Amino acid sequence: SADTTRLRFHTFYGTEIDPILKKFRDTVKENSGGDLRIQTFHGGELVASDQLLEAAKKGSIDIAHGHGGYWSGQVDIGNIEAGLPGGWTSLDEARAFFDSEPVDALLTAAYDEAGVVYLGKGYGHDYDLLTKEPVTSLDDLKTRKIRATSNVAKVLEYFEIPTVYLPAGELYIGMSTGVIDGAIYGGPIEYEQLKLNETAKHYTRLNMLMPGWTETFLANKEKWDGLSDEHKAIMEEAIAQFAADITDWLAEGNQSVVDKGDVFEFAVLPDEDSKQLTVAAQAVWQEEAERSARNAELIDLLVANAKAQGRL
Amino acid sequence: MENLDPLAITGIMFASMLGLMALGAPLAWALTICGIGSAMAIFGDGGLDLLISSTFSAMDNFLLVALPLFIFMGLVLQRSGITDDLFEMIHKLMGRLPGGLGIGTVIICALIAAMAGVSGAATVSLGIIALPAMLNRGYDKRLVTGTIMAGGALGFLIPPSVLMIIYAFLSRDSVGKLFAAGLMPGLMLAGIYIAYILIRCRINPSLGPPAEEQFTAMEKFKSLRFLIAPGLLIFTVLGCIIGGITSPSEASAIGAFGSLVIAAIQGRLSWDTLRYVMLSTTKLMGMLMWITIAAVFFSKIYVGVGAGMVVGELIEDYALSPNLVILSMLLAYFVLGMFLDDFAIVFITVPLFVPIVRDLGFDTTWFAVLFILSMQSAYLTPPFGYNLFYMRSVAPKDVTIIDIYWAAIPFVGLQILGLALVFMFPQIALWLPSVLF
Amino acid sequence: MAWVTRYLVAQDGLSEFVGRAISWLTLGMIGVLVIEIVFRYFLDSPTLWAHETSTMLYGGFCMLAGAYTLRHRGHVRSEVIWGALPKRGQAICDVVIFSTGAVVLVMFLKLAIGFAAESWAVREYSNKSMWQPPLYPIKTVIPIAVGLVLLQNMAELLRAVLTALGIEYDDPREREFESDIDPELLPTILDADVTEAVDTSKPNDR
Ligand code: NA
Ligand code: NA
Repeated sequence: SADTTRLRFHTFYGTEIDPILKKFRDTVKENSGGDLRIQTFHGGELVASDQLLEAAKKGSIDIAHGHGGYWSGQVDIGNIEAGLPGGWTSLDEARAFFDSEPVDALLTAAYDEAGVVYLGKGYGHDYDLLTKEPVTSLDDLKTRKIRATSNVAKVLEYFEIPTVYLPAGELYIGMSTGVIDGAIYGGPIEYEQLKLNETAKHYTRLNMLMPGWTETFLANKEKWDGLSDEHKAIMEEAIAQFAADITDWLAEGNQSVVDKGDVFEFAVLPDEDSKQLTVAAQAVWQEEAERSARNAELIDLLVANAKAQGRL
Repeated sequence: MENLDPLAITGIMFASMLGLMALGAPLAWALTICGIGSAMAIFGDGGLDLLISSTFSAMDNFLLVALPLFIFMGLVLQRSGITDDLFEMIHKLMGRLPGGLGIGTVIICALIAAMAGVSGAATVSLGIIALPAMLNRGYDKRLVTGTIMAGGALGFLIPPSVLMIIYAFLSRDSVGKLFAAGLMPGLMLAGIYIAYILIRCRINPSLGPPAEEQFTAMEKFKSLRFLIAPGLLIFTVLGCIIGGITSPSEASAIGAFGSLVIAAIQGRLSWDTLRYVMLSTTKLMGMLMWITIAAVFFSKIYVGVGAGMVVGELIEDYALSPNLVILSMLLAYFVLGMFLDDFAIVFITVPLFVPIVRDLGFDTTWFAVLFILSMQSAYLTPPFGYNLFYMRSVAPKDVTIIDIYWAAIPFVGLQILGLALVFMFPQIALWLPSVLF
Repeated sequence: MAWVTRYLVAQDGLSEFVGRAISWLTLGMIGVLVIEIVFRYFLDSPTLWAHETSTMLYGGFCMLAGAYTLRHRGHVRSEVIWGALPKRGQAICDVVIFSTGAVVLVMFLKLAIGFAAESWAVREYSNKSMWQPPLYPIKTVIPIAVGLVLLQNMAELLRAVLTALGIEYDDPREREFESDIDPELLPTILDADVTEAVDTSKPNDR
């Protein structure tokens, strides 16, 4: 109809979540009686993932589904909300943290300042170490090159573990040819999808951060303000369901890989070492806190939460 | 306007682009103008900003650092006299064989292809060095000009390959994997050329008469020293990439650095050479970068208005078999190759074709090899073919443009034969990557 | 028409100067990556900065090279039809292309200035690796490079307009010989008929 509103929704995931994307599109269309239509784009299709915030702000896309790490150079709290090592240890804990009033207010303000509307959070899942050789302690890693991104790399560096950065697409060849000895990238399902099990068998749970990342939904201001309250409600509900579906899909996928039994050999880092990781992570927390007053506030809340949970 | 039929959008966007190109617009200009026009007319708010995000993503890609460095390396080698040395070796080793110099030329082309990232380098230098030498010894001019042009086109198939790097950037394949996949088909094609020359010269020895000069076994053995420098360089660069020791970008730096060392050791590295190489690289990269930006932008606008599904839907509607889809894409490549530059073709078609190829369940690495094989033909098919131009500008006066066109035709046929083999037996391309990775 | 010549000399000179200056970045990229390899394999301590530095050198180098390429007529164009036109016809096509191009480049410039300004405003840094370098310098390169291409585009437009109108002027570039082929390999090319060498207008005369 003439009143149809089309929204360009850009996720950072690839085609692997197509069934979830389709359900999301159908839900929105159905609940709005066809007045709202979602056009979905996969990671990199319209803009590179690290341009998602910029694109939502300018209106190249209407809704961005990314994570804070992509735009932490532009929005102060990006790194913290994406997930700092030691930040949280369960889905429930992460949810409770982000749903709390002061945290929600900080995020809303930060993204408002960045020129976009903060719509809510999604939650990732396992985020652990995959290596070619078994790992029994952090000491084992000192002679191996591990692929890790900035915040985790900083923590590993504290233990003198050498890190390198490789894009996800190069992990397979990097691992199979020995450019890296291990990687911290995601959970069992992601590693299996990248076929890394063909070259590296040892999955070590770090107990450092769970969920290993959180996701953020942002909307273009003008477009969002132009929606009716009813449409806003439909979108918010559908996005919440979409986010939950992704978390469930990751959880089920990870469990299914565990259940297969022969894909990876699972091990757990000794408690003592996991504690050390959390302690070492404090330096990264402080570094983030120093970036802005708002960051200091958010880190204070994170510390208070960790203390309340008895981890600090 | 956003509800405009995607098929109409496709038509308008491509027609206006082709119109501008017919007017002689530089490709980067044609794509940007059409992209911006479409963005304003149909994309709505924020369409224009895709231009700047495309720009930054083209600049911010470690993979592409290999482009200027492989170009740099090829230019240094071209200047360092490696071709003269190799031809001298071939002359001593194979001159007595009927068609031997022609076969040797193919081997030199394959060696140069394994050192240079672009096509054309071998055609120019062999056109200058080998062509007159072979003509003087009574070789058939159409056979030898065809050999040099076709051999020169191997540059993109035998790794390293700038075209493969761009393909990988657009399709998100692994560069190492593509390089490995190109090696066997490249050697196979070289083998086909050699077989063709042997057969032609066996049937009619006057096409490639054996040389008169005699060389002693010692002279022949000594001439093998010319293989040392290129051999080391090829082994190091390809070993680093295919063996996974370094990323392709780092290997390209090793190659560029190594080529400078080789040229310096041979006393052929002058200030003029360095300036020429640096400035030529600058000129080429300015062209490639501005096309990259424009083409990425153009394709994003196209995808953004939802027209990307159109081609897929067309295929569904007509219920074409998957193989027929691939064949029509290859046919499209052949036709485009007659009129367009290979970089133009990769930027226009890869974002369009590769998702379809993937959806049909084909291996995109295999398709990459088919694509590169098609681009080899594009170098030889008139009216627009780089190797035809290069050959025309370096060949002696008695080799006419008509000779050059005729010379190219049998080799285009051989290239199609190679393409058909890889199409029917994907393992030719996929075997090596499957063993290595 | 001496002012035209003076302007063209100045504009071509600017693009030439920038091109020659940035051509040194090729050696910079090689150097940075060779250092990384040496540090990683021989000193067993990979650098934090080499990959991102070489990427920034690459991005800046290629963007800024655009004007130099245009000044040397190195941007790929299809000459199948254009090449067959008489000089005046080519100039008319060029007027259309470079005037539309000017409009488009002005829009691009405006976008690029905004893009860089926003990066400065938040003092944006990269978050790929631990190094976390600032991003605003490389983003500032974009408007500069687009501006340089726009300036050279205007020189091309002026050339085309004058030729299309049949106005005589002294083009300093006319005296230059351009080839994609290594001049050292081609000592005799200046004697050859260059227009014939790239003539594709008569493919069917066999
Ligand atoms: Na090559
Ligand atoms: Na052609």
